[in-house]
Amino acid sequence: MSTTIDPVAGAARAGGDPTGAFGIDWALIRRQIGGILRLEISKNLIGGRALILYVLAFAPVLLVSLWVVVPIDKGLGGPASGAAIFANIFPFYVRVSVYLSALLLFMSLYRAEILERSLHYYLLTPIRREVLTAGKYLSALIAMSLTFALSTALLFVLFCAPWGVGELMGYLFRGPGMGNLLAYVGIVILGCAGYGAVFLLAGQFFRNPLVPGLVLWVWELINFLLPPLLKKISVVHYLRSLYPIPVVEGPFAIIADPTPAWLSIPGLLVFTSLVLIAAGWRARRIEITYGGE
Amino acid sequence: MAVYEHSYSRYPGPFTPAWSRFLVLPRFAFKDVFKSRLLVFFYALSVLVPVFYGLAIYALNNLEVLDSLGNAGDELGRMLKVDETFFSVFLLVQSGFAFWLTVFIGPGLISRDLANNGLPLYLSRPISRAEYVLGKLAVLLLLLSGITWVAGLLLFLLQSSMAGWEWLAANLHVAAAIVVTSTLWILVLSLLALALSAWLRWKVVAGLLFVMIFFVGDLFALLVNMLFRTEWGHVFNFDQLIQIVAASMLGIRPPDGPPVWGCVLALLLFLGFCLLLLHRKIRAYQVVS
Repeated sequence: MSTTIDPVAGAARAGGDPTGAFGIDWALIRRQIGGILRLEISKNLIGGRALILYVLAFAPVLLVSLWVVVPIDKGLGGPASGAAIFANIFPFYVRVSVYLSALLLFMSLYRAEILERSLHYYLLTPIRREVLTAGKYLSALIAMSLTFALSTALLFVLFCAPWGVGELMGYLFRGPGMGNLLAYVGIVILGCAGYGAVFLLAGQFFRNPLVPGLVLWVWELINFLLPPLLKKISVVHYLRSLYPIPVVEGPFAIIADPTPAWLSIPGLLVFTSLVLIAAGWRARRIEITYGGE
Repeated sequence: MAVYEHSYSRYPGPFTPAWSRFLVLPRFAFKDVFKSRLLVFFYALSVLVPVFYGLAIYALNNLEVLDSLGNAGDELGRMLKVDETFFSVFLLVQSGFAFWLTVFIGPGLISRDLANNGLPLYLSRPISRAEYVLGKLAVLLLLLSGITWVAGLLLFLLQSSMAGWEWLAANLHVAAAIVVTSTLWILVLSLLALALSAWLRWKVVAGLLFVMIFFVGDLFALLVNMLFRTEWGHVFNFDQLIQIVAASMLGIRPPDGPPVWGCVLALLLFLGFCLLLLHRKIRAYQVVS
């Protein structure tokens, strides 16, 4: 006689239906994602990969700290002029540091596991591939967002700092400073989410994501030169329309109407969700051949 | 025949001279490199540039060719001259090709040996650590030399043969600039690629980091210059440093940046740092994981 064990039916008979909306056991998914986060966040925050992330995030912070300390003429404009310098540097920070960190971190989520021959441990666990993908994405997003939110806030404060603590506090708490700072931190987190989703997907499709990564990078770098329609096919365009301090993009830039914030933020989030769904769908079809790597 | 039935005798053939043993490594590496059709195409493309330059030198030294082009020939003759600027542009273009070739070849040279625990297999043979690094370095040195200073010197000799010995005597500094700046650039590219390849066992990340060091270095240099109102920020911008050295040797206006001694010092320090990284990583033993 054979016995079939059906935990769902069993739980239903016991009066505790484990499934929630859409017939999905959300509590189980939360527990599974929690488990993945516990494993992955430490991997992303400690080790060689994290070192590159920290260098990209904090090298400008160190440089600006030095600038604050070195006694050179910083102008008389006060913290507002410091914030203006920050505003001009911030787009490059996003396009270079945030972009490259996302490329390294999110691209490695699957590829590094394949190269370390450890992905099969995940795939052998009773966990849906979509949940695994979401957990990995969230872990990298948390690690990167924490790092870049901190570095962006530090950069902003340091650029406003040379005029003294009193001026700085006044600008931050009695002026537009804190609002601007929070807006820039939000933009950086959105950037991490957008770029991260793209590179998570790219890491699943391309064995060597260097070339697509660099091509996309050039696309983002030359975004200001692109015609208005093409500008919209980039993450940086939507981020730019959220900048609290407008930035002049130079004499060769082609001006396009900025997308309003109420459209930019949901637009980026929808885009990120769609890419994540594609990554989850792709993850269902992953087959590992370590020998081929 | 069973293995235990084999009898072994001493190798009777000629021995490879000790000094040239490191050349075994590039010999096998070239086979791998030229397996990729993309790389073969890219290398052929980089060889085409000197060919066009050679044709230009021939045309500019040949009045009949210029006459046959009519007014366009006159214009070309007025605009283009085989001088220091001509060779500096050549070096700039070929440096770009050398950079991208290194991006695709360099990062995989050592990382694969380390990732597959293969280093003990090399070092258990009569090859020292230095020879191992030299062998890997030779792969890039030979490939990149072909498209930079060797091609540059051939063009220089072509121009000398057509313009005469006086031109050669008056422009020896151009030949020296071609050799010195190309060699410096090749060493910077090769040693950095090998150091990254040794430290990051993943070829893709090593390649990405290689590109990042140059591009991010440029931006970092701009940031340093802007904040501190100096030109010394360019010490993070290696291609600018090379251009300054090249321009000073060629006797043309150098781009903004530190003085030549500062550039050379920065480059030598960087090369030393890369060698240190390689020295730390390439060990005669390896913890096999």
